[in-house]
Amino acid sequence: MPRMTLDLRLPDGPFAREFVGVGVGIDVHNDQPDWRRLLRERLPFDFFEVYTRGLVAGAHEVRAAAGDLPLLYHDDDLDPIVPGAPSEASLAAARENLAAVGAPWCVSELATRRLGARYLDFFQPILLTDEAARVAADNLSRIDAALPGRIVAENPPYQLPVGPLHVLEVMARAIDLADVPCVLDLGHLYSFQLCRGLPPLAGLDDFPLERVVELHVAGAELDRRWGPALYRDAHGAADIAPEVLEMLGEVAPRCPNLRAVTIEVEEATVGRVKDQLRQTRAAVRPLLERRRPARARS
Amino acid sequence: MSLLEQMQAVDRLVRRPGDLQALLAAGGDDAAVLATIDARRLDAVARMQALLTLGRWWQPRFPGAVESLTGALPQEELALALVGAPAFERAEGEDVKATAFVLGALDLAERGRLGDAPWLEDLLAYEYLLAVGLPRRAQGEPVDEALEARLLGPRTRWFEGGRLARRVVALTVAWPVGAWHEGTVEDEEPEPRVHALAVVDDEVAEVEAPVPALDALTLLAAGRDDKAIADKVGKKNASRLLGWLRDAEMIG
Repeated sequence: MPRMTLDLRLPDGPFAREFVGVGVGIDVHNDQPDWRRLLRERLPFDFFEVYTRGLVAGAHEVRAAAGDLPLLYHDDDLDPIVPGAPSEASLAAARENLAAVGAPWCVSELATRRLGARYLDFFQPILLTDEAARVAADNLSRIDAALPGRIVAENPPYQLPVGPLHVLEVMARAIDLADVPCVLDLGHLYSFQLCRGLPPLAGLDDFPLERVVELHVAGAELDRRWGPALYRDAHGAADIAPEVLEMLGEVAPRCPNLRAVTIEVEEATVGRVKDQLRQTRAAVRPLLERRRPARARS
Repeated sequence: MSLLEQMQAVDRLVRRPGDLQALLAAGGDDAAVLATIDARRLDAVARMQALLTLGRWWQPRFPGAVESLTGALPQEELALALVGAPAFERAEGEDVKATAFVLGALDLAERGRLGDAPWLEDLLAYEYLLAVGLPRRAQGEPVDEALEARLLGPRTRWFEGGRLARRVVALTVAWPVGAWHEGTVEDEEPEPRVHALAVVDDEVAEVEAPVPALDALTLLAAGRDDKAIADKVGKKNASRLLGWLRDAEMIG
């Protein structure tokens, strides 16, 4: 059973104590969707999760335009699975962006785009070993201590799992050791289960769901051209798989400290954003209806 | 193997899936980790990622070269060969200096994997200058000097000063690289020609002309007048060439 009483030390603000609702993850550099238009059209989202690629000007711009809309921040440069990461420059950028957005936490996937001096064209997800979990925990602890908010670890997408453990085992070890909250990206979890031929929620019963403050869903494509199904994390450029929406409906009520459900909509048309908001809100309707009126923006 | 070395091994395997058996044969703790890899899945991921890298990193900057190379190798095999080549390890960022692509393609040609491709260096040099060499210079960004020495050295000359309004590079080629770059099919015998290229307002301006253009550019850089150029290349040729260079804002 998840422990309700775990103190996640979330900074004061809208996400500190209650479920805020369903938000959208935006890339400030994207023309599609243009986040300003999403604001103007008053679509039924409760917050933005902001992805700036490290450029703090974008963080300031969203903060200034968003009024009292709550914001979260998603980083992609901390590389918390690489021994010795992050660099001081990456940490400084995350600190600056997090402060500019005014978010209570910074989401970072347990993955890297960089090995030594080499930039990778694709995320390499955490290896599924004890050692990888320990290294990630050590890095997460240092990052957490250095940020003005919490670091929140996210399970990465998989096309090729390497190592004997289940991703939820590795993630649980890392976040328990580091004592940090986490995001469960349900599409990413589905990608892993596909690789191992497991049911969508396999491994979840032993996972510390009390550490989950946020759930992610996003569009994806399954590429079967070469035989095995390869999950391509397409975000707003594709539909959310029905399996992932079903997972959301089952997992969300089991996370006692859940604060946010984020749809990552980069590259989506406004029409698709609307569709995905409708689908996602329907999947977590009981949680939305239980919110106190003051919190229910949408 | 340290954790970082294991991660680097995985990165290499996704680019060279054929190495898996040798790594497993080496035995030890690391082999135990790598033994969890599904070989069929590794092969599928390698093919998909190689194609995506080809499409994202290289196709937009080297459309003619990629199209031409896939005449010799199926696109999937070409992509795998490029990401698996030793030169790939030298890529900076998304291969911003084109080191991995150009050296990888030249290496494939040297090893005979592209069949007879006498046009390859001309085409690579042309597309390199258009998409990498000139734009990076205009932005004050460094280029791969060793690559340029190998690819451009024998076929380019730089001109500046005199009557030239800006620095101009003249690329001498035998093949219709401009048409191949644009995707317009052009079957013709090799015939030497010059592409004069220069950055104008963040874009690359171009004049394609017969080889005597090199003489004209030499005289322009020396500040010589139209008559001197006409004496050297002929009145009609000089008139046409000077008009093209003016239109391209390479001379005032």
